[in-house]
Amino acid sequence: MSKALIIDDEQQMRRLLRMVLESRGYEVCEADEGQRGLQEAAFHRPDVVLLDLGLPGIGGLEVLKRLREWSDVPVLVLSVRDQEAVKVQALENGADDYVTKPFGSAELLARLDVIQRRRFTRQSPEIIAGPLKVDLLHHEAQIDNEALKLTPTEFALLKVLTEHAGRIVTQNQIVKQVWPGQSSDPSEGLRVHINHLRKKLGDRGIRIVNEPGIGYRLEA
Amino acid sequence: MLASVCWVLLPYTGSTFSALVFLLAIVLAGTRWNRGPVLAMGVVSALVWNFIFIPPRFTFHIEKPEDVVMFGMFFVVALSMGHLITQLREREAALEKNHREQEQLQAAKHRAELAAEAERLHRTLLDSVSHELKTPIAIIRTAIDGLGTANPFAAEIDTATRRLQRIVENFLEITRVESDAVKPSPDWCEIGDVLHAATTPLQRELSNHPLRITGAENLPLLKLDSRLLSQALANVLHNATQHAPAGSEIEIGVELKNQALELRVRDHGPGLPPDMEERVFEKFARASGAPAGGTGLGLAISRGLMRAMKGDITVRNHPEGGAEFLFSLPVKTRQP
Repeated sequence: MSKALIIDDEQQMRRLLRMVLESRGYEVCEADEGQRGLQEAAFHRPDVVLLDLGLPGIGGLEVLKRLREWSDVPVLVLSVRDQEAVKVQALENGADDYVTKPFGSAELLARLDVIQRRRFTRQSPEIIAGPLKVDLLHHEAQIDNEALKLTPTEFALLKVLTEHAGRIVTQNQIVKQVWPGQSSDPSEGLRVHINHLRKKLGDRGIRIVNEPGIGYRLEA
Repeated sequence: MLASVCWVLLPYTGSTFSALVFLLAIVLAGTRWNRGPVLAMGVVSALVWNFIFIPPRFTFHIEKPEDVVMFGMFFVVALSMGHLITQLREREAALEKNHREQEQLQAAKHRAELAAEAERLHRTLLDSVSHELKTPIAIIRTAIDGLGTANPFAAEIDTATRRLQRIVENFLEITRVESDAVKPSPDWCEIGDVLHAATTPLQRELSNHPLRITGAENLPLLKLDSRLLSQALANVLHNATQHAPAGSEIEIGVELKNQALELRVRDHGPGLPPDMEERVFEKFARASGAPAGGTGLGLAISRGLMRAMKGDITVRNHPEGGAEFLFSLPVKTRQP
């Protein structure tokens, strides 16, 4: 049974989340502010953390930073609309994904599943997302067993997105992995390669979805 | 006048005293007047002193050698006193001016700080109001989601909550637009992503209206703020779904013209009443016969967002019926 920690200052929100999570068989603990949240995380060792960004006292971003000093537990950020910059910051500080309030429970549970699956064990050189198979040994990618003709950059890009399949990856995170050490603004190049990659992926059940102001998500 | 006083006193005091009186007068003058008059006064007093008080009197001629030295000394002292005093005064004046300038600077800085503080306060207020209004709505929606909308009463609450959410978001957005809190951050993007972002939150409303998108294929990359543009577009699309009869098509046409993106949204509704072409973009403007539930803010927000991006939005009645909105936005492009 998975253990979830909810850090949110709204009691009603915590109660609701608890109901949704418990109905899915999660064991739930909660905290109403950041400092207590960190203590609970150290004490209960949750399998997943739901973190509200708008916490009083030490804010959500700070909680995340301190948590990441000693833990790599998957973190799902809960945020409201119009916080794009903060969301990006949270993702780059180590959050695994976010949901925007108000969210449906199906969406919430799906995101939680995906980020807990991210413990991507590097024992096989293959990553699989739906019909897509990325072979890291031979630097090849296939959809429905049909090989894709990719340039090295497109392959690197697809690799990053597939490793994070179902999860958002910020523009900076992609750039850092695909063009390490590049200092000039590479967003233009990124768009160009995404565009090419999308054309090559075609309409075969794999989509690269853009979330304006944040990044990309590979959906299978 | 000084000379006559000294003249009267001369028998009792001697010429040295009158020299001191003249020097005193120069010192006093130095505190009132500028360098020119003071130096002139120094010269004149030296000459007058010579003329009147140094024997032989009433000539510029000096008899005794010690008087020549005295005159020379007086001349030098008078000039240097005048010079020093005026210099001092000038320095004081400069200091004073400097001080005033500093005060003005301080005042300007203070004003700027106040303005920044007011803006910060405004934003904090907006953020906290936004949080306070959105949180209960989020809770209600999550709760209804858990309840399921099989129960018709729950379905009604769900619809009303969505409406409430739209109203709250519109009010917050128009406040942001009007207080110039909308800062575009353009980045390269594909128009398809903008359309996707605009239509995703409207899935429910658009389920009754087939979308026909033309011109979006093979468009170059565009540099624009995709979040703001998609929001502006979403409001217009929502407006179209509210006015056009269910089942009617909504057309979106995209093209590039003279370094500007032109985006047309045409519905097959009744079109605009006469003279509404400009007024629909005013706050709370609602066409007669508009369905209940709108805030009259959506289009005002769209225009505000487009203008914040240095673009604009206009509307006209399409010759073949229906309203046609035109978004135009100057953009940089790049062939992928």
